[in-house]
Amino acid sequence: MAVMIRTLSSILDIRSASGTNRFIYYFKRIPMLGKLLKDDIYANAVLKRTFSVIVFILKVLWGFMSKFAYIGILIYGPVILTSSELPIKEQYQLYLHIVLFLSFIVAAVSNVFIMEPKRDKYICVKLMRLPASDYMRATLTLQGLTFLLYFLPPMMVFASLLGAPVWQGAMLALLLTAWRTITEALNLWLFAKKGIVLAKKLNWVWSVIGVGFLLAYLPLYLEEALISTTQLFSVPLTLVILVLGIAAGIYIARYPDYREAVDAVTKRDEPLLDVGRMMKESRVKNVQTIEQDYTAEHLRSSQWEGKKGYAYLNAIFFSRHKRLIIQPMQRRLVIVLVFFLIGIITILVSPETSSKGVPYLMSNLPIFLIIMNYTSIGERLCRGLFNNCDLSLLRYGFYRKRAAILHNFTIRLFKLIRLNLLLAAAISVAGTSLILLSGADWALADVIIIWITILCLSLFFSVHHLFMYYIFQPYSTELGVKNPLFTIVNSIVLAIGFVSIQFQSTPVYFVLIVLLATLVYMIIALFLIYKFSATTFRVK
Amino acid sequence: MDSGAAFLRKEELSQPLGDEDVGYIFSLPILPEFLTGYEFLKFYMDINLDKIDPTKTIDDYFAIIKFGQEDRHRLIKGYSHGMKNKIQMLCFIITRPPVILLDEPLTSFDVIVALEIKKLLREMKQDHIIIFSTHILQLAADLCDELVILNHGLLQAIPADTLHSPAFEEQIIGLLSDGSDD
Repeated sequence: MAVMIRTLSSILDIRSASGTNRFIYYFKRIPMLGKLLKDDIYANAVLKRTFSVIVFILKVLWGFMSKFAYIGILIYGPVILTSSELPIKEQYQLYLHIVLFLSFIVAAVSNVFIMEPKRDKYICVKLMRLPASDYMRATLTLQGLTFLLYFLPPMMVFASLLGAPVWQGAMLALLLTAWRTITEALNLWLFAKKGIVLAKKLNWVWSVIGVGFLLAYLPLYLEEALISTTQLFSVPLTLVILVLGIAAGIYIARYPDYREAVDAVTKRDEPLLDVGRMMKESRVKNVQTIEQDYTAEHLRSSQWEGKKGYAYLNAIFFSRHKRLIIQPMQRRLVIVLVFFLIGIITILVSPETSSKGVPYLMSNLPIFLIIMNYTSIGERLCRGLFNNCDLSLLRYGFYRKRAAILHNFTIRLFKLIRLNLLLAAAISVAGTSLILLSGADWALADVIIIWITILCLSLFFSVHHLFMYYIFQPYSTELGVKNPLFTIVNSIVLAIGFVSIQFQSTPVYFVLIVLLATLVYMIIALFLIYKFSATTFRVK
Repeated sequence: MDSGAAFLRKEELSQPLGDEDVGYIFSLPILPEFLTGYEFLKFYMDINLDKIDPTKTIDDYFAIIKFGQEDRHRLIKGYSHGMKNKIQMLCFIITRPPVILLDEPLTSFDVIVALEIKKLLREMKQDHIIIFSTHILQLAADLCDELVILNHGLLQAIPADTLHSPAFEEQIIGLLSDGSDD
């Protein structure tokens, strides 16, 4: 017992010191106020102790408030909003139903505590060498007690708001604590016997979360809960859960080898411990060159002997990065095919909808602005170009010369235009065939307008994406997007698309505007590239 | 004094040092990983056509740095640290800038590659001005004709006879720790 209290106080000391330091660190980064704190405040023990008391109080308050918020926003709120006409007894049923699914099932899988990769665990056990079993026993006791404590008030409050006796709220909190102890013990047992860490099986976790949420909120539609109070609070069930909970608690307390359990989730390079790095690695992997795909003969081949300089470089790049080109193109063509088939089916099944299709399309041409933005493969291509080619070559002086940049840009632009036009042609063909087959009234002018719109927009976005890349050079080495202007301009383009959908325009005017805008934008973009790319195209 | 200019002197003529005259070799070489060594050099030679000696082929150049036949046609992605550095040096053997800067050369190489590159640097000493930074005093004593020390933001020249004396290391340590006792 003394050991546990000592361990607990060490852990809380470490946590409060980190928390206080973190608070001081972020406070110092506030523009003006930050200067009030000098660097040597980190050494001021008295002040930090006061801070840590404040932080502790805040944490306790936050514990209560977060449970109130959780139940209020995710459970009580939806019930009140959707079923206020139902008698209050039914609302209580729905409330219990959602609690069952969200807290008993979903949270049991998504909020594990024992087998959870957590930075605190890593610091205390791996770095500070706190014995793993002492750490786990202390934190688990703390966690169990605070869990119960924080849930008691909100459960009781919400129960009484929904006309149920207050003791049911308290009993629900108790049952929940017992239930979660059981699931934690199960997680631990699973690890002990099979070596599986459920929290790391992200597929499983996300499916349970998805299905759980679905089932939780489904009754709000059906206006009928799937369980009733009597079932949940029946004496036998309650007793069973409480007894199992106590048994689970004993199992957890007596578990012999916490060291292995902690090791399994605190490896040095554990991805979940550093979500930022995990996301960076997945972004880079998304566009990386794959080495093993190429045989020795392929690499020696002289198929590019005729090309020179940047044509040579880009030809090899595009050939070795087919996953940046072929795969996305295939995916998009498949999507076009799917929509085409849906169109055909609609035509066969309900001719009236399809005859309305043509006029609808013609008056909503701006939709293509959004469609063509996502059809263009420019974005991923640019990321791939940056990560695999430009990032390394921009270090060399010759690559940064203006003539080189422009030559490079032209080659890439033509390639991208060719690829995007292919996709645009596919979309146009699919669209035109649908129009012809739908048997609706169509005019040759309409078809021409659609073709011109699609092709022009494809051209526009090819130039747009490359232009964004060359002028704003937004990618950092981690492929996050660092330049706010880049995001802003992209958003403006999309916003224009959304806004213009609201205006039902005559197709002829829209096409003319698109044509004109494409030409003007291309001229401006190319001019800006000509003038500025030598300064903007570098590694930041 | 915290500004100035660099000049290159050929016989009696002094010219300001331009971008083209300097070659920089990074300690962590960054090369485009999707090309093979052969392709990268071919590309490099195409770009710098006006500066190179037309009599040598790519394979001749590879032979200078002792690069194996199979390695020439492997993706740079699979090259070791030493191989990438050799390719970098080859770039400057090809374009022959008069001044070559190296940042911490020979760190993290295996023994064979380190010796090969040292030999290469000694050969290149005849036709180039090589300036490198290092914290390995032995390397400085082996290769250098002149030595300067950067200590507390100030440059100090070391006389040439100290460079080749047996008590070289002791004297350098003495000079470096002089400032830090204040």
